[in-house]
Amino acid sequence: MGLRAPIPIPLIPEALAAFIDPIKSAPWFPGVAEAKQHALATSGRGVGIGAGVYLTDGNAATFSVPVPPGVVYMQVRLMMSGVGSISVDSTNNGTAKTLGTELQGMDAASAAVLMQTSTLPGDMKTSPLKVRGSSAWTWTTETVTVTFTSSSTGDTGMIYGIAFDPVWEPQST
Amino acid sequence: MSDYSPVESNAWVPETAGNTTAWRSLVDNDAILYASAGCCHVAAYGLYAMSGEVSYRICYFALPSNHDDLDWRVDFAYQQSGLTSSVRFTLADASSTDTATATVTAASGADSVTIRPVNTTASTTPRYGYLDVTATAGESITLSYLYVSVVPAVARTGVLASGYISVGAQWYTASAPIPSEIIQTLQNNPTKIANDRPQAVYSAVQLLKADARGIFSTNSTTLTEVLRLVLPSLDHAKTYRLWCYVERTLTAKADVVVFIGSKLVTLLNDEGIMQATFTAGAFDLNSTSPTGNSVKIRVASGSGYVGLSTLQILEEPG
Repeated sequence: MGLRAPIPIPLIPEALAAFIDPIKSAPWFPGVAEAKQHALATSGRGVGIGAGVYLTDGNAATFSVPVPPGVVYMQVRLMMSGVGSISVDSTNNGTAKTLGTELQGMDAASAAVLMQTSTLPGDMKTSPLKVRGSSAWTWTTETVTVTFTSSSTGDTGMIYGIAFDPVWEPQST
Repeated sequence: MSDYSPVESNAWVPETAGNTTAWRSLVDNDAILYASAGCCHVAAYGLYAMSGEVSYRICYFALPSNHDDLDWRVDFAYQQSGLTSSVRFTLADASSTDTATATVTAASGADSVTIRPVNTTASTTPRYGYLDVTATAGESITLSYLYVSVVPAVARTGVLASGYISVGAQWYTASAPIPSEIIQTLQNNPTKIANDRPQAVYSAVQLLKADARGIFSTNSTTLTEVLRLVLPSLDHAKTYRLWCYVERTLTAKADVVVFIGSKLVTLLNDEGIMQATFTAGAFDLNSTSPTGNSVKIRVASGSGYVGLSTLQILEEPG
């Protein structure tokens, strides 16, 4: 068994093949078809998704997040304002990711800032969220819980949105 | 049907025969991908709460493409104070509807409701869905997350409305030829699947309010920032559809102005479903910090409040 990397061939908009016979056979003809299949299953189509929320101090939000084939980790990016600590956890993560900011006096959508995990599994500080126990070539969903705990002083803060980006890695065939 | 299993990347060599393992996998994977390629239109969180016996409409959302009329499913989590509540999912086009209802009987949990399109018809303008929730008298129910997706299924035979064409197992029997027409079909089918199951790159769905005073609302005639968008990384140039549902009171109509990277999308002087398409590349979408992606609304005409309850950014087939 070898490793198979994701293939980012864009499938939208349509770019259709048209053979006009007679045509000389070539091994890359089925290879191109297979590459498009793998693109459909992986990064040719497996975009992440952003979710708009309005999450205030002391509340938790639960999302169901689509996980494409071959994806084990997802980068989490979220937009918040004010002062607070955010815990992001999945059912496969083990340890929740903690992100936070302290923007006193800037508690408004117009002052929101972006915070994110890295895209490097194993990163000791801000590694991406684990969304699957181990790699599989199946589509699935993962339940992700975002808990917002604001500071007892200062601006209470707000979360305006969160995005989940697949981390594409080669996986075993 | 087994799961998708990619072949080794060095499988394709000269003189690949019609009964080799790689060729067999290619044909099998084509059918497996049709029957399993997932597609999400909404992944949203909001507290969709209501009480009482009267059916209450909680939200609208776009349901694009799906010319093959595969099932659509809404997954949700809920909590209720009573013993029984119902969640009715309606699918609509310009003139017809399909409906399905889920009845929940636990105090809390997760459930789903699935619709098979029968009366409605796909077109270039997305169909849309809405949810109506009913609790028993004096009781309440709250939905939290919503997840709306196409439910893949084994392909029907023949040329489907999406353009997908099944390739049967007879094409990998011993001594079978590998005709160019079959190669062409196998090359085009992934594209047909992707275009019939466009995905959302962003979704925000909030509870409809009778007074149009939801969290993304205003009665000002000055553009008011109500939301900032966090988008995933988008690598390819493509066309997207911005789909909104705007509620209102009295006679108010809204302008919705959305800044995404270097793109400005405007939906002007309307209410209810408002939509537009725009084309953007990765440079357009990533040309500024995501903190610059904002949504502003205002009252464009009439009087009253306007409120943005749904905003989806969907891949546009083409």
